[in-house]
Amino acid sequence: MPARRPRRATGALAAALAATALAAALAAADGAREVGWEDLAPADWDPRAVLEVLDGEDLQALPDDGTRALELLEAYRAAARSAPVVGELDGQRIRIPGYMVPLEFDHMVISEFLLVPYFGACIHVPPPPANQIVYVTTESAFPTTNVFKPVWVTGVIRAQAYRHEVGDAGYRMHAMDIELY
Amino acid sequence: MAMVRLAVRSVLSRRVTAGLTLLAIAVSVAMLLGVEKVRRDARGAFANTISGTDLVVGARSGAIQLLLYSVFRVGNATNNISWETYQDIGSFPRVRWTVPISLGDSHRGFRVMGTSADYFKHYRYARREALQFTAGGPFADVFDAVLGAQVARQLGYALGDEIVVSHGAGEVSFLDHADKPFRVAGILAPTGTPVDRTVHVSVEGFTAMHIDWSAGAPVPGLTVTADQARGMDLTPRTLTAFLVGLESRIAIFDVQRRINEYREEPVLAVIPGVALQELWDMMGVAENVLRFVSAMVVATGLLGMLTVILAGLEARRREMAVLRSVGARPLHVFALFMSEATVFALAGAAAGVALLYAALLIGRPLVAREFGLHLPIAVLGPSDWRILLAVVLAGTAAGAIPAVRAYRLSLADGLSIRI
Repeated sequence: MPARRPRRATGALAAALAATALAAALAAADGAREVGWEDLAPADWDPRAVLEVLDGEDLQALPDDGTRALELLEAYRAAARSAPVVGELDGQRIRIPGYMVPLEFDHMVISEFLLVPYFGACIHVPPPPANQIVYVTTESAFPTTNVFKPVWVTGVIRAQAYRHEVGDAGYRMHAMDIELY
Repeated sequence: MAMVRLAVRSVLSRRVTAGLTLLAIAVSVAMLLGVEKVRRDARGAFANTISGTDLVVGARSGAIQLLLYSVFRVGNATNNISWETYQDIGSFPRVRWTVPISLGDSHRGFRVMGTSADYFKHYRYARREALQFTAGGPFADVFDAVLGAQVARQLGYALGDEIVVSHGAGEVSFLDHADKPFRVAGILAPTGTPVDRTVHVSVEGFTAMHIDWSAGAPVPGLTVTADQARGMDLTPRTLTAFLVGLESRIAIFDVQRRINEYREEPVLAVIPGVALQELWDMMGVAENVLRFVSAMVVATGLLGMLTVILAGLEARRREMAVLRSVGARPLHVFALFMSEATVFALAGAAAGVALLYAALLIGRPLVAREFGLHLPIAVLGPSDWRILLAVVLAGTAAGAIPAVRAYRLSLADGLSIRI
């Protein structure tokens, strides 16, 4: 039943109201809303926008380490880094599937990881943009033997679009529950 | 319960065979529990060694290898990376801190690591715990050294002592850097990680001790004294690896990719958690083989018990007959044999646990010294109890075979036994 996202034109206030109403409705239903990775990118954000910087360039013709190629790569990275987050998601209890990239362990249990939409870092394409990565902390005792399998993660997500000089926009989440997909 | 008491008495009257059977079960149980413990503790120790570091960067080799030599001090580096690369990557956007690591020398069997004072600030272990000094502090001079807890304890060093670093990573080296001794400036608190077994010096000190080694060995007539070295440019030209901390963990993939695509020099950046996970997945196969073998040893132990009980059955037909004459029914005889197997399995499991702890007490220092693995003496965990329960259940189940046979025999035999 995910409510249709408010149109851009309705403005931030309406969006906030809708989000509050949605959050309240969800809390009443006492269930985590299932979301997909496409929900983490704003509806009006076109991933291809990241690639716009490459428009009009004949990529095949560029030498890999030529100045122009490196410039384009840098522009592309900057665009990917500033990929916007969906502010309405902030504070919502969601359930999202994904793969874990382990960061910290507490003995034999994972305590921090990055949740990403696909397995393994593919070295043929750039890494996923910032809004397709969720930084998760957890106390749930998820055994390390299952790390490379897809999981469902349930918890309250924080969408922080901090426009810090070097920081990234991004999602954080404290997982209450992790289970195998 | 009377049956169990009778079974215990019966077993006690056959002390020698019973004792040997028990020992076989105890040894096999201790082995199974020991394998589990070492497996768990080894994983725990690896997981606790690095925390709060986002990337480990070194010469291009393999993720696991890089992590092993740079963080766990297992094995040796394949190649060094240049100081310029270190500086350059350190200035990448969103890199918050970098800590250099230089390896290759040793002090009486302990690895010597060249690093910067930032190491003591940024390095974290276990749950993001920082290193603590029990005495002194980080290095202030080129020839200052900071000792890990175990180095100081085992070699009996105190603040201000002078130590001589040897070339190479072996226990004994025949080429010392004796002309440039280091002074102990600080001693770290125990961490249960390879840090305890490391002698830390500054990268400048590391360079200084190799300053007249340009030929790979001291060049005669080309000696530089410690004081002369102090006056020289001691910026290192190469490094073994370095640790990287980022502003935001979301940036990990992006920075990792940038480093891996670094054009000036082939370098490799790995996420420690991912490399650890890969290491565990690889070790998993060997671990499972070990577990299988120890489970087979337990099965052999129980089979031995079965043999002993069955073999004793013939000799004990008279015992059964006496029991029957004083009013025991065949079902009682069955119960007696079942309890006997259970008593064996229970006592064997208990003796196995005792044996494990005894072995731990004796073997701990040796394992810590030889393999750098700390085996904490802890109470049995849920998985240990599950193993013990499985052994006891299997033992009891095995007891059903002689029990059924004894039941049949006691039905047929009565008091007149034709042996």
